[in-house]
Amino acid sequence: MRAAKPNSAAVQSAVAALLLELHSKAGCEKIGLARESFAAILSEVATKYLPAEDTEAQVRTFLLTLRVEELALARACAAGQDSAWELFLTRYREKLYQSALRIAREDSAARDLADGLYAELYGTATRDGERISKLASFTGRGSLEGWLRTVLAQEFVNRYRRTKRLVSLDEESAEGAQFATADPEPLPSADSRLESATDAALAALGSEDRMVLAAYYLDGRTLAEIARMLGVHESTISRKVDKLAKSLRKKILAGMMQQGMARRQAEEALEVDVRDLRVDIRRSLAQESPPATFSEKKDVLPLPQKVAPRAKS
Amino acid sequence: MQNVPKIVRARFERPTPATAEPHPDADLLTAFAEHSLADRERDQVLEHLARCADCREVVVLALPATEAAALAGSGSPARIGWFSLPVLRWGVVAALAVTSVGLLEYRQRLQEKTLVATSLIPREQLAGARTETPAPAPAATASQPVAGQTDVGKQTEMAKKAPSRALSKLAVNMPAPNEIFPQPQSTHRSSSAGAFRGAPAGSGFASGGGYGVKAAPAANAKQNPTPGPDHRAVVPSATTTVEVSGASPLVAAQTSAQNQIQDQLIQNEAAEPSQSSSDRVGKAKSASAQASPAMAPAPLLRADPTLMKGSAAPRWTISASGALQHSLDGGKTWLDVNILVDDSSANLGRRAQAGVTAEASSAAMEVQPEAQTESKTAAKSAARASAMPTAKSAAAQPAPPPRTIFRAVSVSSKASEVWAGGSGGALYHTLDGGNRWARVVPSDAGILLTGDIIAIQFSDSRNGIVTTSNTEVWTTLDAGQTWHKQQ
Repeated sequence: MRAAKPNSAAVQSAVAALLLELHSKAGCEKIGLARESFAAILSEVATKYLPAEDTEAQVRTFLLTLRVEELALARACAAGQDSAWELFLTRYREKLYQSALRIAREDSAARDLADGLYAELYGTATRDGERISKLASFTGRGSLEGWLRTVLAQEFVNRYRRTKRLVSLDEESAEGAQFATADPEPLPSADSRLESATDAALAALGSEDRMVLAAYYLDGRTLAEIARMLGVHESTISRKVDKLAKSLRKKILAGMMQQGMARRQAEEALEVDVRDLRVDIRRSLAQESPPATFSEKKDVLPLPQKVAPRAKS
Repeated sequence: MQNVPKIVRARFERPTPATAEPHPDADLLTAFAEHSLADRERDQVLEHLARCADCREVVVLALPATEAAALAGSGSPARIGWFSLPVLRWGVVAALAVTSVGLLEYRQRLQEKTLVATSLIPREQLAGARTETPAPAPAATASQPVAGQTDVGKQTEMAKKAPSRALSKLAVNMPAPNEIFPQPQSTHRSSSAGAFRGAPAGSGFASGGGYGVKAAPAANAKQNPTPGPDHRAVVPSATTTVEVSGASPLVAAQTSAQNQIQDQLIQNEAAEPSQSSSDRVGKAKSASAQASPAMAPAPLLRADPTLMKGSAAPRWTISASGALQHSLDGGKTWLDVNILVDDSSANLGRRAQAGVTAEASSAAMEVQPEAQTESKTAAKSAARASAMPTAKSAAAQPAPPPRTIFRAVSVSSKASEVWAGGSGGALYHTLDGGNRWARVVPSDAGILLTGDIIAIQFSDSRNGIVTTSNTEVWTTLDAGQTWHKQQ
C-alpha cells in the first residue's frame, strides 16, 4: 500500500508554503513541538502516502486534509513531551479503555488489551537507546481516536488469531479430528467451467462490490455494518447485494453457456439455488493469502476462516 | 456453514496458495472508516478489503462506539431498519390525519358559531320588522316569513353538510342560471336566501347576498304568492345580486376566501353582460321614473388569487329599494346604513350599531384592491335597479321617508373608505367604515353634478370616476377635493 517516493521538491515546497499555517493550526507551541520538527513530520507523511508524480498543488491539498492537531499531539507524545502526554491522557485514556471493552466485550480482556496498547503508545521498546512509541506511526490521515480504535482492533485480531489457533487445536483433539480417517466419499469436484465462469464474473466486479459480497456472504456481516463501513445507508447495501447476486448468477450462467454448456446444464451446475451461488461467491472471495499479523513480523498459522453462513430468506 | 454443499465447504477449508500482501496501516484503515480517503487510496483499500477478512474485521471492530452501541442494541439491524421505515411512514400518516381532523373540527366550530350569530340576528330583525310594518301586504305576511324560517333551517343544514357555502350568501341570477351555477342546488340555496332576506322588506333585509332587481312589476306580482321550493320561478330572470366585499371577523378566513372567489366568479359572469340582460334592465329603467338612458360599461372582473389571502371584510351593497347596506357576517345579514346626519332615532341607532361594528372590522381586516372592481359591478347593478321598488318593499314601506336612492357604491382596498352615490347627484364619502360621512358635491367651472350617480369607480383612494345617468363622467384626482367633468 505504500506509494512510490514522491517528488521531494514538490513536498518540500508545499510543506514550506503551508508550514506556518499548519504549525499554528496544530497548536504545536502548546505541546512543545518545534516548527522544524513539525515540518519534518509533514514531509514524512507526504512522502509516505503520495506518489512521485504528484505536483506541489496536490501535495498541498493532501497536507490540508491531515488532522494536524492530532498529528502534532501524537508526535509530541512520541517525542516525550510531558504536556502532550497530559493532554493525550486527558483526551484519550478513558476512550481507549472504552474502545477496548467494546472490541473485546469482556472486561479483563479489554483491560489487558488496553494496557498492552498503552504500553506500546508510551514506548516500552527502545531502539538505539531511544524509546519507540507507537504514536510515532500516527500520520494524521484519520482521527487519533479512530486510529486508536483501529490499533486496538488489529491487536485484538492478532490475539484472537493466536488464541483461536490454540483453541482450534484443542478442539480438534477433543473432537478426535486428528485421528480422523480419510473421507470415504471424496467430494465431487466442481465443474471447471463453473469455476472459471464464477471467477470471471467476480473479476468483472469492482472492488467495492467484491468487498460487499465478501463481507456479507463470507464474513456474515450485517447490512448495517457494511453500510457503516462504506458510509451509506443499509438499504443501499441491501439493494446492492440483491442486484449483485442476480447479475452474478446471470453472468455465471452466461459464462458457462459460452463455454459450450447448455442452459439447463449450466443451471444444474449452478444448482439453480441462490444459496449455491452464494457459496460459490464465498469460495471465490475467500482470502487467498494466509493472514499476516498486523505490525508483527513473525509467522503465524493461518486463521481458520470465520464464516458465518447466512440464509438470505 | 449450513446450507452449503460439501464441495464448496471443502474448497473453503482448503488452504489456498499464499500471495503475501501487506495490510494497509492503521492510518489508512482509519481514514477509510471515516470516509476521508481520496478515491485512489479508497479503491486500493477496498481492493485489499475485498480479499482480506482480517482487515474487514478490523474496520468493523473499529467503527465508532456510538454506532457500534446502536448496532449491539439492535440485534438484527437490517431487519429493524426495514421495519422502522414503515413505522415512520405510518406515523407521519397518522400525524397528518390527526392534524387534519383537528383542523376540520376547529373550522366546523367556527362555522357553527357564525351560524348561531347570524341566525339570532335575523330573528331579532324579523321581530323588529313586524312591529315596524303593522300592515304589510298579505302575500308578504303569509308567505315570506315562513319561507324565511324554512330557509334559515335549510341554510343551517346546508352549511353543516357542505363546507362551501359561498353560493348561499350571494348570487347573481342571470337569465340562464345554470350557466352560472353548475349545481342547481347552489342556485336553489342562493335564491332561497334571497327570498328570506327579502321578506321583511324595508327593514334592512331587502336583499340577501346582494339585492334583486326586478325586471318588471309584473314579475313582482308573481313572486310574492309563490315563494315555494322552486325559487327560480320566484326570482325574475333579470335579477342581479351584487355585493362589495369587506372583512368580517366572524367568518373563518378560508371560508371567506372561498366566498371571495365565488363572488368573483359569479360577478364575473354577471359583469360580462349578456346584452339581452342589459336590454331588459334598460327597459325596466325606462319604465321607471328615474330611468337612465345609458348604462356605464360594466368592467370585467377577474377572480384574483390574492383575494384568497384576505380575510372576511365588511361588505357593502345597495338594496333593491336603493338603500345602502353593509354586512359584517359575510353577507348573511345586511344592515341599512343611513348616512344622513339628521335622521330618526331608530336610524341613528342602527347607524351607530353598524358603525361600531364596521370600525372594529375595518381595523382588523384588510380588503384586497379588487374590491373596487366589485364596486363597479355594484354600480352597474345599482343602475339596473333604477330604484324600482318591489311590491313587497312598497308594502313594507308604506311611507318611505325622502331619502337618497343609492345606485353606486365603491369600497376602497382599506375597507374603511367607501364612496356611495345615488339620486340627485348625492355623493357621500366615509373614511372610517361608515361612522362619519361627508357629502361631496362635485363641481367643475360652476357646473354641479346633479344627475343620478349610477357608477363610481375609484382605482385608488385619490383617483376616481363618477358616472351619472345623464351620461356625465366626472373624474377626480385628489380624493374628491376637485372634480373635472369630461365632455
